[in-house]
Amino acid sequence: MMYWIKLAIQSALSRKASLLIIVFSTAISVTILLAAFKIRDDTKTSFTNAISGVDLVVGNKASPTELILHSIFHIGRPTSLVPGSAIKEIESISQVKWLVPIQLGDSYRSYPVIGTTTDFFQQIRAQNKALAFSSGNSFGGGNHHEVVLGANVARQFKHQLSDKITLSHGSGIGPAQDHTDTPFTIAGILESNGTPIDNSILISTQSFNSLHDGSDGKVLFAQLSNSQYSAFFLGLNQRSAVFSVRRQIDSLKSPPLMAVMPGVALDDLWKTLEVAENALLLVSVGVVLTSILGIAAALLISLESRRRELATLRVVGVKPLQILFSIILESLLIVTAGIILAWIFLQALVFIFSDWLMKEWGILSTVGPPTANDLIGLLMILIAALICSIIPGIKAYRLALHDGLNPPNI
Amino acid sequence: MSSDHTVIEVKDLQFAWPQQTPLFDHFNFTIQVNQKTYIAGPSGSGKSTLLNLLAGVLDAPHGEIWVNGHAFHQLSGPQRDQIRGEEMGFIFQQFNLIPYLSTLENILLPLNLFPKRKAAALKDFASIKEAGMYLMTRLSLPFSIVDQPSHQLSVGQQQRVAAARAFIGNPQIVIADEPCSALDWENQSHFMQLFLELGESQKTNLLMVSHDERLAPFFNQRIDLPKRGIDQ
Repeated sequence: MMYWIKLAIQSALSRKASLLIIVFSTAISVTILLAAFKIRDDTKTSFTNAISGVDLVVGNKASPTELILHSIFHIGRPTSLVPGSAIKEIESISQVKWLVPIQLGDSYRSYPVIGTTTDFFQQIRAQNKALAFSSGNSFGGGNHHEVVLGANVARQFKHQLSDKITLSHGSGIGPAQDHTDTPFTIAGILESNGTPIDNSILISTQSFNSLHDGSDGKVLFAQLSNSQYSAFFLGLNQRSAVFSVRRQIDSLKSPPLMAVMPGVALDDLWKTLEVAENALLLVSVGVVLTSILGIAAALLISLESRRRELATLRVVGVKPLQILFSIILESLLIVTAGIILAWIFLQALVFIFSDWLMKEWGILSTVGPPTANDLIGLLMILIAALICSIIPGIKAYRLALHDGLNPPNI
Repeated sequence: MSSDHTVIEVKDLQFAWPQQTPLFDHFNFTIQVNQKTYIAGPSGSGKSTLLNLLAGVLDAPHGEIWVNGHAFHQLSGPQRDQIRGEEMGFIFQQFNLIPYLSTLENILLPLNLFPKRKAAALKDFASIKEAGMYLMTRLSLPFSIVDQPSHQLSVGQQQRVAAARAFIGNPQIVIADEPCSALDWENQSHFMQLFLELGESQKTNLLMVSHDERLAPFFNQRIDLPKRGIDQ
């Protein structure tokens, strides 16, 4: 077997120019497929790990998807707000270890403002890692009007510690809605973590309330009254209690609440994106198949000029089936070389663009070994190459039988 | 059934290409051990077809072909291929070498493909490389071309490399098809001398097909093929 592999390699290397083009085109097409796999997997991981360490997200009874989209991804609006009285109800459940409130509705230059407590920085994890400050620290408790910026917001507006910023009500469109009389001082900037937190501005719930209830001297907006919340993030003493706690929260009457397991909800949400995911994969598979057919065509064309070589092999006793096998082997070796090159290309691309992906798209992508999906994909490519190479293999087999010891003068 | 002293026996062979007059009609001949046989015939007399039949590449539809005690007419194609690889060597005029292999790799090709032949070479030499180098010496091939790709060799060198490949691993039969018609007479006789010497020293049964009558005296048995078909 080793000798046949050596022969196939030498045969392929004897046509260096065409081999180089074939291997390179295979590598590019396989890179496209592997990149599609990687983008899909990394996007899914980044999406489903957008928030971790949270066992339940609690909000007013509505659609779980809406609650998740609003509280984690800051997309859309809540149907209604949860009164502060709910905190006591929830905290009375013995299995609840911690509760982090979330208030949404304000913005800074179209980036969402989150009113929360300092527990947010201790309890919430992003991409399975604790939140970390690149500079400064958490906002002070009470009514200090301090703010913590997500990494993208700080980078986008080149903000530094102690800079003063003005928040806006709602989406922030129009100068009349700015909280111009309540400037906030930047107390901390978070490290990038590839989640919506990168695009957020975090302030204390007291500061958030003061913007709306007039405790700072002015009532600007009445929509958010004191101690109203968009959602709560809960951590439990034991994860196994999640169903029991969910049931207890769902059964609360005043106020009527809903508890959602974020992992399950995010997974359901991701499934709605399967159409786009499948379209991407379909295009990639098409590119790879075209490339493999190109290899088969190149081998098929080269056979005419290799009839003497095939006849020489027949002379020394090689069987027609062994010739068929050697052509298939050559094709598989070319595809394998393409796959190895593609893997190197992919790792290089990830290495070069991982920072950009994280900053621009919030996708955490790292260099690493192939996943199970990658290996299955690569195996399918090899099987496709095997099937396609049967065409030139059979042609070589027929030529070997037909020419015998008398190949035409080529 | 062929006797112990018979290397090749063709009995009552009948062969015709589709829609053509028969090339062989009840054709018979026998080649005994240690005979050097010269098969002569003009173009179209069926020399190539006969070689394909003796090599086992073509199947004999009627008659018997015995090669080294094997009933080729009863064996399958792959079985005949195996015997050809293990027990026979071939030298051709126009194509002989695998272009992407070096001189030595071409010579060692049968040993790497057939363990039986490799074992035969290793009876006399410490390694297959040594066996190849020995044949290169015998055929006056310089060691400087050992790693040279075969397509860079001269025609004469290519023929001698093909001869080395045919003889390596002590096959019982070596068949040559116009092996030196591309060479001038001086080189032809030199090649013939080396070819016959090697055959004698290795006790190989030699069979050569040619239309060049000047080569006939080198052999001790002659089989003539008429222009169309054979009557012996």
